[in-house]
Amino acid sequence: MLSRIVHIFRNLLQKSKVEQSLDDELQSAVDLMTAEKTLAGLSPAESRRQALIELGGVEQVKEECRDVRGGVLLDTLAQDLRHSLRVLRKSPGFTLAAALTLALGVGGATAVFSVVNAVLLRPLPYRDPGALVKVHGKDPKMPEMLLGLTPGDYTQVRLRFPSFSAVAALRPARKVGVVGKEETTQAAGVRATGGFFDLMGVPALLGRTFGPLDARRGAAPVAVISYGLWRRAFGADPEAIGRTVVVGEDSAPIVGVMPPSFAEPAASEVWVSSDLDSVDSSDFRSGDLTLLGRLRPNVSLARCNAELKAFRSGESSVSPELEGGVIEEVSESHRKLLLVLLGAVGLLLVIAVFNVANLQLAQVAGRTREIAIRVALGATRGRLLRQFLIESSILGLLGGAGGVAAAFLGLRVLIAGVARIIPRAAETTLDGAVLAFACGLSLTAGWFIGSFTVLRIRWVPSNNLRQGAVGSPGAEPGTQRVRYMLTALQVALSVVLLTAAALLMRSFFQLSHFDLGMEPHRALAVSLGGSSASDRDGLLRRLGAMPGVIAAAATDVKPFSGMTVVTGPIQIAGFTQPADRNPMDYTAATPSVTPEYFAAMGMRFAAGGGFPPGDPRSIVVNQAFLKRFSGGAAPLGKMLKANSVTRGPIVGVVNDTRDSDPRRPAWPTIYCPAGDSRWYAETHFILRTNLDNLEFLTGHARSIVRGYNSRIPILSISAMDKLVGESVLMDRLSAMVYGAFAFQALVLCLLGAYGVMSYSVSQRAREFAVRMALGAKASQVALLPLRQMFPFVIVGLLAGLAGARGLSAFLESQLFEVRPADPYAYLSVTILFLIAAAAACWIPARRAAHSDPLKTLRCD
Amino acid sequence: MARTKTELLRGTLDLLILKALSLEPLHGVGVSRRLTQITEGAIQVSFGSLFPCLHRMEEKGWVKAEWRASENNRKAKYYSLTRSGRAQLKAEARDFLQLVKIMTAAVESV
Repeated sequence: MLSRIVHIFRNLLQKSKVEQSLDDELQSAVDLMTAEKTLAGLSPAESRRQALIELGGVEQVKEECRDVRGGVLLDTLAQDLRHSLRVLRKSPGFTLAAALTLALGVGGATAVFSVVNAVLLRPLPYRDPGALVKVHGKDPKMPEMLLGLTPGDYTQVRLRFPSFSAVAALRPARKVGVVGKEETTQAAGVRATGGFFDLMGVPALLGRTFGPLDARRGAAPVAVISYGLWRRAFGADPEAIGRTVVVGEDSAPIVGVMPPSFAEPAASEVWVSSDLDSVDSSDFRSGDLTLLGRLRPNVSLARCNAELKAFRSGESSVSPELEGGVIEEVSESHRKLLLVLLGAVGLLLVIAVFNVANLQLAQVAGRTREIAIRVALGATRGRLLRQFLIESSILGLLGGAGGVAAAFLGLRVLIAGVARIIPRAAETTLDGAVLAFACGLSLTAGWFIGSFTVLRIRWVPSNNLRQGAVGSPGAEPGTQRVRYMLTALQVALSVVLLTAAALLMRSFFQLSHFDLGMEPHRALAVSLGGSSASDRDGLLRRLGAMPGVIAAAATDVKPFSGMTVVTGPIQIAGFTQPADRNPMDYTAATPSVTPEYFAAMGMRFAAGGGFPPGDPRSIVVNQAFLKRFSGGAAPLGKMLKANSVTRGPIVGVVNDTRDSDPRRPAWPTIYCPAGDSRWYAETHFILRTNLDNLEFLTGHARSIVRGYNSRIPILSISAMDKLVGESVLMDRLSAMVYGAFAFQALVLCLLGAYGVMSYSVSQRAREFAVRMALGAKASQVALLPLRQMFPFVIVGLLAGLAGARGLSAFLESQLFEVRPADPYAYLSVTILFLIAAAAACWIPARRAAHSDPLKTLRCD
Repeated sequence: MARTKTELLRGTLDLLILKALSLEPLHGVGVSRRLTQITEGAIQVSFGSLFPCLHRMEEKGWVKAEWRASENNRKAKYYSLTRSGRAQLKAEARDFLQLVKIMTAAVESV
């Protein structure tokens, strides 16, 4: 063994010495045999000739000896590598085009994969996250609603449920503020039981978390804050420990800061200790608790759920059933969005690979002579195969490196867009997993391209050598057909992407031009944190008095935030509801608004009018409400009951608006006059103005709020149309990203078609020249290659349209007012594609037809 | 040399060369001549097979090589068996004889 290793090193490192020795040995063998034959009586010259014959070709023997040397594989590998690099360097145009094309494909795939990796693949940053279960209440009559648990539910599970080794409960905390150096910052917070942090298994980044001791009965509450809040409120100052968090009437000292990745429940910024564990409650009437449990080893989620169901029978609670689920921070629609995106970049990559395969086929066709000579000199098929694979692997890696660089640059843009929509996307990094993915992808792409090329090579050397003489390198009709087919495949794939992009763009266009039922232009929304009714009325007067404001109103629900406050069941005197309805269908949205709300939003009255000033009881409903609850008739003057509270009379009916989420039709809505509570978590002012530029108004509004009471947190001040834009951000992003990918696919595909066409035209240049010399017209000649190529383009186009139709179902959830089979999308893609493809094919054909036939013929 | 003969030799060439070298150190041409001699001309090994085989055995450590003067005073590369080469010869010879015995019995049994 040792002797082998020594020899391998000697063979590789002292190659000239080894070669010299081989040379000497064969020389000496010839000498010995010559001497032998001379002794036997032959003439010296004849002896030498005979000796050489007996040896059987010095070079062949040497080659045989080299092949058995230790490390021969490494040695020839190095040779192939050098040769490949030489070949690639010699045709920089091809290398650059191929590497850039692959970079585009690999780059897109890597960027999207890195987001998928961060959002979907990386485990949540908790100890053994797979064993963590979140338990919600469920009403079988409303399976889509997750209900809060009551303190009684929690006590029961904590004391008696066998499948959990540990449990904790969370409940939303109201009125959470962090007292900073200068101002109080509003924050989103929860109260958590003492076992919470231990259950999650995450230590604090700074300071400590809290445990059962902090959450004893009678112990003063303590608070842990999130990394984001620490930076926002304290500028990441370690002095934050010991400062105060205000929760309702309580205040709690901050004892720790959590690491950035800790966000359970999603978007929480403050965790305050709660003594719920020390209270055995039998309150099953109402609750807003979320229960977290850690499964005992060997207990599956399915078993846990079966046990929860059995455990629950007999209890009477607001939530008749309990159901556990894994902790997830990414919603199903986001997951789908990402996976569909991954599919799109996958298609782009495949197109890129086909494109490079096509390029390499053309390049190899020009190298038939080289291949033929190498085969004639004894290169084995395996050796050539390896050579081509190495060549394309280098191409793949070059492309991969470019792709990673492109991904690195493009990722910032992608994350900036996606992170606002999808949780955890901000944590996207190009880590080891992503780099390994990119590397594997590049090599696979390279190998595919290489093997594809090798399969198309002819191995009969003599024939190729003879053929290769003049002007028709590798003119195999078969290869040309394969290149057309590759083009057809590319066409099909790009048409799929183009169609997806067309559908999404149409959807986004619909969405941004849809009648919202209100006027988003020339309106400003001022959102404030915790404040009282008198603050609201005082501020409303001041804001309404600003120059340029024609109507001002306040509401408790932020427009275009996707939030709706619903109340139910609704009963109207004189109308009976069908009995078999889903309980959700009995509910209505119940925003509280001030009298000028309808004018400020730009809504229209269909019947009646607004609240009479000073009347705290009259209500206004929208048309969706009429349709749902009173069969379309306008029940002006009627009273109604919402959740058993009598309200009314109904004084007006307004048009439907899509002011919560533009994608959804309007909820049945009851607009109630704003009340006079001591405290509101959020108040939103709507200011209708006649100014085009809202910048001045924004600044003015800010200073008015500051001047009124600097302790009221300003959540945001933004133009209404900006809020609309943000609410359809995901759709815009999808449309843009798909549009970009589809555009790249189109360009790649057209370049591919152009390349194939140019090549086939250049091959037939002589034929065209002869035809033209014999009197064919230029236009006739130009049509010849087109006629050959276009059937493939058409077949690809049709296959692509069919494929797009099949795959468009995946997009359905993202489409707004556009059917997956939308004929306009398919038609526009077809027309666009035909024009582009015709141009890509026509240019080279025309060039050939317009060249001087005499010149072409003389060339040979 | 006929192709079929080489094929036949493939497994046994190592053994033959080890055997040829077991008597005294030889150079490449010497090995060829010795093989012709001990097989009474039945087997002639081409140098294209012989030299690679010798080199492979050298890398395996079965033979070692040194340059010295030949009988008629020319420089030549002489191969001689190492200790592990002798062990290899013994093992291969035993295996081969066993194979021959089995094959003979099998072929003659009908």
